[in-house]
Amino acid sequence: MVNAGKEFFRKRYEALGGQIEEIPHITTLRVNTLKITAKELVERLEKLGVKLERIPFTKNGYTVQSKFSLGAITEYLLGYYYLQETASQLPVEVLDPKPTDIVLDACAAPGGKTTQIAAHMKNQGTLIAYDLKEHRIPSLLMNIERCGATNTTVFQDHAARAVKLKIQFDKILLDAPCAGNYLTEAGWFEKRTLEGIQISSEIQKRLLEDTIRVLKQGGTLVYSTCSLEPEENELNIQWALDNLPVKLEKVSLEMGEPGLTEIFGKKLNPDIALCRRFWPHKTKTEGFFIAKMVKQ
Amino acid sequence: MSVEEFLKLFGIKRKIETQLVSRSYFIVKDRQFLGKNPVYSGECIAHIRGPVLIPSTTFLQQIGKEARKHVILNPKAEWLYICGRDVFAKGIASHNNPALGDRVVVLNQHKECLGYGDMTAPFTDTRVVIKRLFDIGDLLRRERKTRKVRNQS
Repeated sequence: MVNAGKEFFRKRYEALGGQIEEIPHITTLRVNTLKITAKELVERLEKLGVKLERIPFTKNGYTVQSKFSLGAITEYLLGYYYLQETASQLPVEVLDPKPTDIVLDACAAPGGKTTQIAAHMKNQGTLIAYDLKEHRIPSLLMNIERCGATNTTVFQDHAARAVKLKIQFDKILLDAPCAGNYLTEAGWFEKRTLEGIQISSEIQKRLLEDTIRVLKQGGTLVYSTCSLEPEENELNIQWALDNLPVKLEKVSLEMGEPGLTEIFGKKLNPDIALCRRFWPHKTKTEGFFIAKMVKQ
Repeated sequence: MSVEEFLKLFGIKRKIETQLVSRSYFIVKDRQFLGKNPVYSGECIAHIRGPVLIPSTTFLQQIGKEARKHVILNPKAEWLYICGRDVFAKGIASHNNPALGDRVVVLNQHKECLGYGDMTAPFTDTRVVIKRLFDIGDLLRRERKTRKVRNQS
């Protein structure tokens, strides 16, 4: 197959100004401030021999080094933290939901960002979470329960059905299902093809269209993926600017690089530079992309 | 079993206004969504599992504070307990004199509720003294079971 394999993606990323670099896995967590303060959690985990270091550009993120699994101890089961990759903590910080907001989390499972939104909202306001896939619902519900989110209502359905709720949302997180990146899955290069990425891109466009429909005028939508592929990122944003009543706002993060405004020789809207792209070899995180849009 | 009947097992008399949503009881904050078939809404109280109820993590903490009888485990017994094991007398750091047959909540040294069980032998015994009925590790086992079933299908 021509449009797949490590060599194909290596050339592709180089043409975009990136490269492939295997970076060591770093365990990171987000303190669940609905249940505990960062100070209290750090003290407790340090007593257990866990080394924690604050991630400076996140609100409640820490890197952790531990001789035992942090996914089964009492503090985890009581919902004091969520094991969440650094870059994955950033879309909600960009969305910045407030306690008075009505918020939609359009593709919510497994619930890392849903519980993070609930924490930002201090369990107030209204948070509606959708996920279509039945097999992803148990982990979503488990995490919402564990983290003590009580302002959340979950529907197992396509986010397009949110229109039936007859609500115009103040803020929407569209953390779209995507191809992922080579750090998220062993053998990623062999499992992905350009054709698959293009199919994924079409699904994302539909999701953008569906969610913008239920966003109130002046409301904010944050679009994110853990993909490095321009079809799922900058090119989708270009499509949104061309077809939907939105404009881009700056993603104010110190981390990452401006979105690409020229893809394989094709010039895009210069505003796409307001988005943020995370190349793993530069950020030492997963590959990621974040765009912030406002409905006009 | 109703939530009130469940609470009575711990010597707690309290009425809670709950709503059944998809086989779980919730304190629903926003009732406007109930007609749209949500799978989760508001504060989860308990799940129906066969003839009994399984408390949510948050509700378990409320039970832990209000229950009549408790035992407090040492850290080693805490780890074994959340892995689904019963409790032996040597794992108990302190207690408030539960009697044989009592339903007791099991706390750790931070007074966080890890679960509950029935007292089956006196504290002087070398046998199991608290027969585990539920622990917070159930949350993970529940999720793993779902994943296993999914992989098999």
